Amino acid sequence: MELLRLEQVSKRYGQREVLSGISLSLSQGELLTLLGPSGAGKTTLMRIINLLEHPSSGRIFFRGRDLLQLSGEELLEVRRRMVMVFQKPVMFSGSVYYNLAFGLRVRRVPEQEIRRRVKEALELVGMQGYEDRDARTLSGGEAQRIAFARAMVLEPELVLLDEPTTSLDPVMEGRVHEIIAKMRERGMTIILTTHKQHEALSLGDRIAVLRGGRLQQVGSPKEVVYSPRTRFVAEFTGMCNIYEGEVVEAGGEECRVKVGEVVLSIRGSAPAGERVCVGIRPEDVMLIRTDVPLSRRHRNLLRGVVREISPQGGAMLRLHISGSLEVLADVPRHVVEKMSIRPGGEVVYSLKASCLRLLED
Amino acid sequence: MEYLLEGIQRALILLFSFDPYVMSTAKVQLMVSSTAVILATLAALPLAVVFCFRDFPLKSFLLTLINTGMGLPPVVVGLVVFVFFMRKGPLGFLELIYTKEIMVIAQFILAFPIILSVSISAINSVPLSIRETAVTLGAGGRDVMLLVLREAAFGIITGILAGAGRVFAEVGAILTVGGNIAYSVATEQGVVTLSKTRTLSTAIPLETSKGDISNAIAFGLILLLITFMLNLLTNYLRRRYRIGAAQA
Repeated sequence: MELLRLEQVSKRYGQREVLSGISLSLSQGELLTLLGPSGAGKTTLMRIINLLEHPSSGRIFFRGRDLLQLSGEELLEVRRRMVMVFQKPVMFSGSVYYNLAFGLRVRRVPEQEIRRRVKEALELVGMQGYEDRDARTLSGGEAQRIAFARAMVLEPELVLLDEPTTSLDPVMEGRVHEIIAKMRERGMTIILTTHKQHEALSLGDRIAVLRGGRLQQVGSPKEVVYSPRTRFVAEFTGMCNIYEGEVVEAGGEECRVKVGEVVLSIRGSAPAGERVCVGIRPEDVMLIRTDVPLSRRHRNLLRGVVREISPQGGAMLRLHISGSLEVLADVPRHVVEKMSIRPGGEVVYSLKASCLRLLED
Repeated sequence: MEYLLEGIQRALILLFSFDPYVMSTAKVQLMVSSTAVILATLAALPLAVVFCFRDFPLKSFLLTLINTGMGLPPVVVGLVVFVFFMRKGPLGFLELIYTKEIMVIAQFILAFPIILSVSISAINSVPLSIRETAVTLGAGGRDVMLLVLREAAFGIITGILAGAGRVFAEVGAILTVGGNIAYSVATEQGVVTLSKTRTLSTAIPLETSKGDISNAIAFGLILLLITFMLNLLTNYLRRRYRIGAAQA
């Protein structure tokens, strides 16, 4: 069921257009990540959804009701079904309890129920027993979790999390991800902004990539990662091998693109003569054994010299290969060892036609 | 030197024997000045809220006027009030001249701009993020306003105490409009002088010029005591509201 829909939402500050023509819909229980570099308009979009700011044009529907047509009590009623957690949460002066109770008190929830729900929310974020602590003396990580509890205690339908992990260390980031999982268990719909691709990919049911106030692509993590539509999306989601070239031969399902001295077969269609960008993810670059006869299945076979091998964390190594193309390849450590690849050595590799992508510039 | 010690000694005796003249003078001071501060607070707070939460024409001009008002010379305020309320003045028919009421009016004028101005800056210094957090947590307009006032509480209290400090310390205004009047009555203990419009601060120069140093010292001690209490109160409230560090 659709919870939220944006139609052609734009925002201008004077001459500067911060958001333009954003259309997006969100179904109940979904987690959408808004991925983009700083200054892409992520926070502004969240503030508009939360009605902290008014869009210059466009419409926002929450459960089918046009928010911009509402006012007074009705608007307050809808606003109380969503909550935003800011990137740098501020605490009201007073106790942690006062902070958590605030939203419930303005909703006229009986004090006895408030006490119960505050206790429960503190347990959810792993801060039980913090009720009487002075909220202004909490550390950054603690304040972050209290801000989550302060939002969760309201049992909102929609939670807007603005860069919840940007200023956190990996351990705290993991904790925040656990809290987000708990929010989802409770059926909350979430929009989360981030500039970390791994976070967007691992958390989101869908990803919306934002750049310069425009949506570049919206899709499942798999779609966005493996079929990026634009060069920007490709770069931002870790497709680090991107080349400019020209279509020399257009076919039905495949076309051939000339990149420098090399002609690559690519699944996809583009008119001959057009300048295009092609890209491939580093883990899709395949090293080919040269001690056995080459199979005909292998397309786009290239030769190169390994310049550098650097650890990628986990079991992967990143190879920097020079030759007719500069290529980064992520290869499992055991493969590198088995093939006794060393810096300075020559390798043969394949860029699979089905893994190469045509990208809009 | 002996004279001074003797003065202090006699002042303490006057204080602890609850001398009717000293007590009535202190009472007039407390009544007049606290009434002025309370009324000025009641008038200034709603106005401060309006200044911080609404936009209207001439706002910055009015703010400048209010800030100017913080530095008004008390004696000039006294003179202006006097001119308005004197028998032949436009408000002369009220017959308030040389009464406690007119002293309250004069001190109100002195305290009001200070309380208003300090409150406005205290409210304005509450970060926007506090308001926005309240809004996103579902607060309505009134809830947000109350929260912001609560966050600004320490600053507002500081403003009220600054206003109190000003009116308890000033001489010029209440002397000019109140007339520094005391009267004598016959009682069983003999003739006793009581204050009508005489206050601690106006009595001190009078007693000094009369050569009655011990009376002057007694008044001075009470005034010091009041100032001291005001400061104690400030510190108590600072701890109570736990905001001092964030606002200072």
